[in-house]
Amino acid sequence: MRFSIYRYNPETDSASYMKDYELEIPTGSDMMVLDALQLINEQDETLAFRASCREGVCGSDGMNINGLNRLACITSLSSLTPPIIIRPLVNMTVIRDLVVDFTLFFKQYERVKPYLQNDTEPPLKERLQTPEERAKLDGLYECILCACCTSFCPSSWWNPEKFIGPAGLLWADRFLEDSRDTATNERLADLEDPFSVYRCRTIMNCTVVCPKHLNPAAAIANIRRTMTKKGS
Amino acid sequence: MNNQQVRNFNLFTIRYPFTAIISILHRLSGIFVFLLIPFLLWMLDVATGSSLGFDHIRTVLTNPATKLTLWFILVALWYHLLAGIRHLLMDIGIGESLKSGRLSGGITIVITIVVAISMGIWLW
Repeated sequence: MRFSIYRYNPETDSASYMKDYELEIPTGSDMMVLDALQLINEQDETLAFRASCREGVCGSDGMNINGLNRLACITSLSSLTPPIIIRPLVNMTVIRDLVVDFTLFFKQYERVKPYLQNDTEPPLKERLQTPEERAKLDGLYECILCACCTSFCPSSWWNPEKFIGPAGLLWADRFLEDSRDTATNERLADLEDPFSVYRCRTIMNCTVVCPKHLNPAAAIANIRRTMTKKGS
Repeated sequence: MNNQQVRNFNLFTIRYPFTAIISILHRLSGIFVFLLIPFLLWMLDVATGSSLGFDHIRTVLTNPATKLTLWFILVALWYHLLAGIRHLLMDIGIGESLKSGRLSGGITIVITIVVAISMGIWLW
């Protein structure tokens, strides 16, 4: 099976290029793209990529595989049409080969204050929620911050600094929906400008590529509705 | 050491999901209709200016090229309208899942095709 992989080493290359690799996949067998990358790595040890848990939990190996952003560790070769074209996550600064810089992505995550804020006296044991209140967080808390969505979002391509992006906004909604959080008004006020939330045009690229099958587009729409209800 | 920032950003290497195509067409149809507003205003202006002008526009409208242009404007306008309504429904929480987003996109395309055929019959 033929693989075409994006290569760029800032110390030796002036521009990126695609390099072809051939890998023998025994008929009747299958493997994940990450396994294939590790085998290619044995042929060519200069190839750089990130990976850790190899089971779709850590979010390290997000990359653009045959045109779509996905996690290499949970994308099987049998689900793809060869040749397999592997490029880094779209529009993120390349550090080397398939390794990209997450600085801006994490900055946007930090902007939404992704932690519980509660100014009331903490109870002796814990802050309780009803099962219904807890259920509101389903589909929001599971994000692994792999950046597949934000890197595939056209609104983020055109406004990477001003628009928070689907991942950050999913987290914003997760804390807006949390019954234990008391900073709702401040959170909404922080999002009020024309760019942070409103650059989203419900293109749904985020939802299409999310490896955890979450729906950032719906979370963003929910933020907009919450803002409208609160009259902000 | 190369200090230049390198990014993987080439619109031709990206696969566009169906919902993305629906969205791009929404933009393009909007731009297209907007750019052809002067043409429609010119026709309105001449046709309402004098009875001679009215007859002139009637002749212009029999020209196949004019008919084709008008057909493109009508189809683009309808698509833009339908895709816009789709977005408004999503804004109030209808059809937000990936499945329903794809379905509403498909419905938008199907209605546009029906409209395109009807407009063609009406114009010719």
